[in-house]
Amino acid sequence: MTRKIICLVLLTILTFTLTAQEKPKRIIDQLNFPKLNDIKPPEVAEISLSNGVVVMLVEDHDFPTVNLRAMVKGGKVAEPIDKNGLAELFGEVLRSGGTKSMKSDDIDKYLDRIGASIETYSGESAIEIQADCLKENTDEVIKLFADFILNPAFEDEKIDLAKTQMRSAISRRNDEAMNVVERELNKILYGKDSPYARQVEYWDVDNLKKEDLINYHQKYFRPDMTYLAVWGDFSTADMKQKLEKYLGGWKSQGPKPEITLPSIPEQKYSVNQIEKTDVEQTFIFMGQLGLRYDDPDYAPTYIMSEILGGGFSSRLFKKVRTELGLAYGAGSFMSPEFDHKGMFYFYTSTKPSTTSKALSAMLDEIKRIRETPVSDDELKVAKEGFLNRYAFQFDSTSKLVNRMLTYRFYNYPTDFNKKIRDAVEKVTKDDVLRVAKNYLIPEKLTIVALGRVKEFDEPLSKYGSVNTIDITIPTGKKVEMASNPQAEGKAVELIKKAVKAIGEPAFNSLKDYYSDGKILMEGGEMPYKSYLLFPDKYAVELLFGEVSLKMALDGDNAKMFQGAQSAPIPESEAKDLKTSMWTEGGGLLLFKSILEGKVKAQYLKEGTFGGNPAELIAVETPQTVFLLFLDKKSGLLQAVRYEDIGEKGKEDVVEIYKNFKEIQGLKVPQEITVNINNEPKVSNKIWKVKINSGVSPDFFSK
Amino acid sequence: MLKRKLTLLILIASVISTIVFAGSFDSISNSVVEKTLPNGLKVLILPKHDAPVFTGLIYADVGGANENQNATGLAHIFEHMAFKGTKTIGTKDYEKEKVALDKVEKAFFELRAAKERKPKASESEIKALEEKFQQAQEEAQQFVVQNELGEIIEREGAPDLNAFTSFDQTVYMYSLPSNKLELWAAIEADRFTNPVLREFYKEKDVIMEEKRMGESNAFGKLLDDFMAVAFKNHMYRSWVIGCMSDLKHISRTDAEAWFDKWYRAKNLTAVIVGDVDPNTAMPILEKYLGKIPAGEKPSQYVSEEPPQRAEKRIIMEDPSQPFLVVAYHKPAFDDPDNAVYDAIADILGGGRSSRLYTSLVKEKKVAMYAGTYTELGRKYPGLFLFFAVPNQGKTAEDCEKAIYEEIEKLKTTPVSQEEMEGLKARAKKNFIQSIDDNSGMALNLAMYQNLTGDWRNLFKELEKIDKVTTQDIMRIANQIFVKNNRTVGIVKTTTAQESK
Repeated sequence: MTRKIICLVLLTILTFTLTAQEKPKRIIDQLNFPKLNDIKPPEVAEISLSNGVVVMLVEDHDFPTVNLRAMVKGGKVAEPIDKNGLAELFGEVLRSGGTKSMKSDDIDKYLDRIGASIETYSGESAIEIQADCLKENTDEVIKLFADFILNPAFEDEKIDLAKTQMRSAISRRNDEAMNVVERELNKILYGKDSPYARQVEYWDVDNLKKEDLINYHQKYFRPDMTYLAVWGDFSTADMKQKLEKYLGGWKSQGPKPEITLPSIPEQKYSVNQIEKTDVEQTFIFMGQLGLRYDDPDYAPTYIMSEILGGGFSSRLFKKVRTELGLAYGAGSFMSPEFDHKGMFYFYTSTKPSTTSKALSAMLDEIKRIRETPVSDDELKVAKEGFLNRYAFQFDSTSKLVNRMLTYRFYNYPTDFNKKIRDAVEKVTKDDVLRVAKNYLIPEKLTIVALGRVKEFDEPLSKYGSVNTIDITIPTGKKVEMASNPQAEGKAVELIKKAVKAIGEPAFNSLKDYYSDGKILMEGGEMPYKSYLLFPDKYAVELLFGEVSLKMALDGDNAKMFQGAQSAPIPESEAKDLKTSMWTEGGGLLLFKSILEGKVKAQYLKEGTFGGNPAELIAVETPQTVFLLFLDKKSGLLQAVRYEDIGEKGKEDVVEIYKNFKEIQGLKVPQEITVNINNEPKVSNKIWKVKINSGVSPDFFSK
Repeated sequence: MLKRKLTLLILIASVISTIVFAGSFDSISNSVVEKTLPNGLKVLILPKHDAPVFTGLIYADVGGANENQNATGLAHIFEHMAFKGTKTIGTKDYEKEKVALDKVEKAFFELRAAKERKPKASESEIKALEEKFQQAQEEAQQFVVQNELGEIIEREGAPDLNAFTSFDQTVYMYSLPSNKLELWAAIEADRFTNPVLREFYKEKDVIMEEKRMGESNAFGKLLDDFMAVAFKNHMYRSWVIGCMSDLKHISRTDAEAWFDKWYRAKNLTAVIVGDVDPNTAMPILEKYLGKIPAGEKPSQYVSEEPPQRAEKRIIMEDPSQPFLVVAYHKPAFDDPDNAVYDAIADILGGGRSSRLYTSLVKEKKVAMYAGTYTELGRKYPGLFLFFAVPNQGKTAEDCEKAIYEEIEKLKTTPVSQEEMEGLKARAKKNFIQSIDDNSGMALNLAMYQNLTGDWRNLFKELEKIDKVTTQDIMRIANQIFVKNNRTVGIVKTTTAQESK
């Protein structure tokens, strides 16, 4: 066969295939789109005021209004660690607390009368002040806008009001299921104390004072940390003068404050569930570490995320909603940030009886996009969609100028969106597969599901050991530990006395502590062994006939062992283990940690225990606050009381130590009873104790 | 945060806000080009050349209120189905698909009849019919190109593909780059001429999930019950999403009948706002939308709500924090006094110095937020709503009492001159904000065209609010804010144990 014939045959086959697959010609496939009119964005003037405030100005004469938006560096990331909630309060009272020249209520009346508004907000890394007004009031409103920035009054009454509202918001924070899953997911992803995730508690609100607001304002509100956008019906030259007049005299004093961004913890796979009975659906939210906007992989990752879960045409939507009919909403989105890595999120909500079905379908899609390249069509739809949408980045002046303000604020080039566009144009199928493999890591996914757990089609344990998250809102007061050296000194004195009572020399040479006994509780008893290796290793072995199950803590690492098998312990159970470590052997670790200054203890008052006078000490640990009852006469620790979260919510736990016996020079209790909500629930009988048994550190991790 | 959310929820539940006011908007109003096509479809085009994009909207003058008692949720079901494609979009082979779809329908009817029959059909019979139904669906499925309609629109650059169904209307709107007007016209004409309601029974499952989602918070549950209490005859009593048994019962045939009745050209309005030249755009729209069958303008009659005889009150016990809704019946949107209702709503609930915010939030500190809402039901006489979110430790009743105090003041003392001034200035700014973008403008034009009979009224509201007097406010307050015209809804916090 000649080459020509081969070509001919090929051509015939090709034509044949084309005809066979061709659909009837549709109008929509035959349309020729005219050339798109040019995008003619309005001119943005960038200037600096004499004091360094960066200003972006855009004239827009469509309507007789003027708008301002200032961003000041700070926000939640700048909160002092012991002032949780300060940024939120500041964002509210900056506006509601009035200015030094005008009372808050008068400002409200005035602005409402001229149809203007000024509002302030606090975000993760910025405080924002926004204003809008009719053109005829421009001068007065800019003056007031500047007054809020320079001279806020933080009226006491309005601080109280804002705090009342913050408490109300706390009381309502579990009412909206979607908010709950999102919040709990972020607490796991970023860490529960991270400013990107931490929640404000009642005691945090109590702890916020007017001086905190004043200090915060003094520290962060400076021209060299302020960025401003102004747009609307004005002339640029005239506006410059106005801004200079009202804001130009403001000066930065002292060195610029440093803002340290929190680190983001290593991601770990976990399955978490939240029981909520008053919802009709299970709300599933999953996440894992994502990217910053300026990551070189942002564009391919965005396209990948669009294909996976971006819209009508995405895989998650098609699978979970269209094909399986399991949910109204199903998808994924990237949540990139400008100054730190954001997260990838995956979400859906479905009736309880299809929870696992929907979750499995989601996980399968996440896995699939990592394993095989996406189709040409999928890539085309995602890329063209993005490129065709580009014109909408310019369809309003406010969108345009606010985007540029944000870029300037985070020190990005002001044409950054164009760079992204160019990068998207170049994305290939290989890029999509590569970033899917690199960034979607099923082994590091955090899964949170909220709903009527008992009605799930399958228990979530199918996906790994399940951590139960308790969302009960803590109402108790946090014991104030920070500011009472006298009470702390007295606590240490009393602990020293307690140590003397149990045998100081033996205590001082204590390296590990072993006990052997049985637990008696409702329904039966069980032999157990416990091992405590100071300062941070602890294990409990439970014996079920021939089978033994070991739960071990090695620092923060909590694992379960049975024979050769091991599995991580979910956080809620790990917390229980940590709590019992503190009180093992009658509070040995508590004593050591207090004397070494690792945990804070404070003397509270004299009370009684079991009819005898006792000294009360509060000890704050990361898990809970322990209340110690030390016998006034002997100095021995009689009991420990703390709040714990059990199956039915909060529990008041009291451990009572009895029958002290001296073993190798150390007096330790041989019997421990545990009362829960004033009812005796559990008791431990100990028949063997060894001190410095020489248990190996490996025992706690292998 | 919470207050914005609540407003949003109400918006989703009903329609977009429009408080309107006078100003120099003649140039906008003069550039609107309108035409009634030969088939009766109304077209409005407003050129705005800020960016090379436009918003296109189809407004069907039908909503949940037009449903019948045994087929609630149908308006919204059809809205979902309008994204399933046409005879040429979303199918691999329509001729074969049609045969398969008819089999699905037949199997559904058999199954439904067996399930609803009395005495009950045997389990084995139902199981066999379910399998048959399932199999028919799978057969039909092989002809489907999933979500093709949505995919085309997204690929061509729609940033936000959307539609909504309210009590009063069904609206389909999205934006595209402005060189794709013809594509928009072709797609919209096709889906409102040749819709194929494929994957119907799976989409009903999606809608049932949507209903469950909406009823996963106390506010959603309360509003659902609240409407049924506030209205006894008018169909506003049935929340748009529909009742669960109707969702199960409704067939594709029902939805097609709905389409045939309500989606004829005479009942539709098309609005284009954006970077288009009306001279070239109008012929394109006419070419495509002109093909939609004319049909008849269907009757909009719905049982009238009789005057209320006594105060009604529902208290829902729920683990959530408390919440209060108080509503009074008020006339429809085209009532000559409509501007007075908007004025009252604004004086009581607009801005930080509004009467409710001042009294409930700042002074008595009983509420985190308190406000008013006048747009729950507009085509027919609807509701004037008050709502309050009590502070921690305060009850809905504390808020209720404070709201009544403010209402009484309004009935007996004229509103101050400053408040009247503020009302007018705010209305002007709010109006500008509501028409500042293409989609806001498009929706407003369509709303006014349909709710008042003429889009021009959008720009006339100006004068209307300007003419509102303190006497008008007292007159209307005394007229509607009376006890036997009132329905109160309360979420009362209780622990799970107590409610058992």
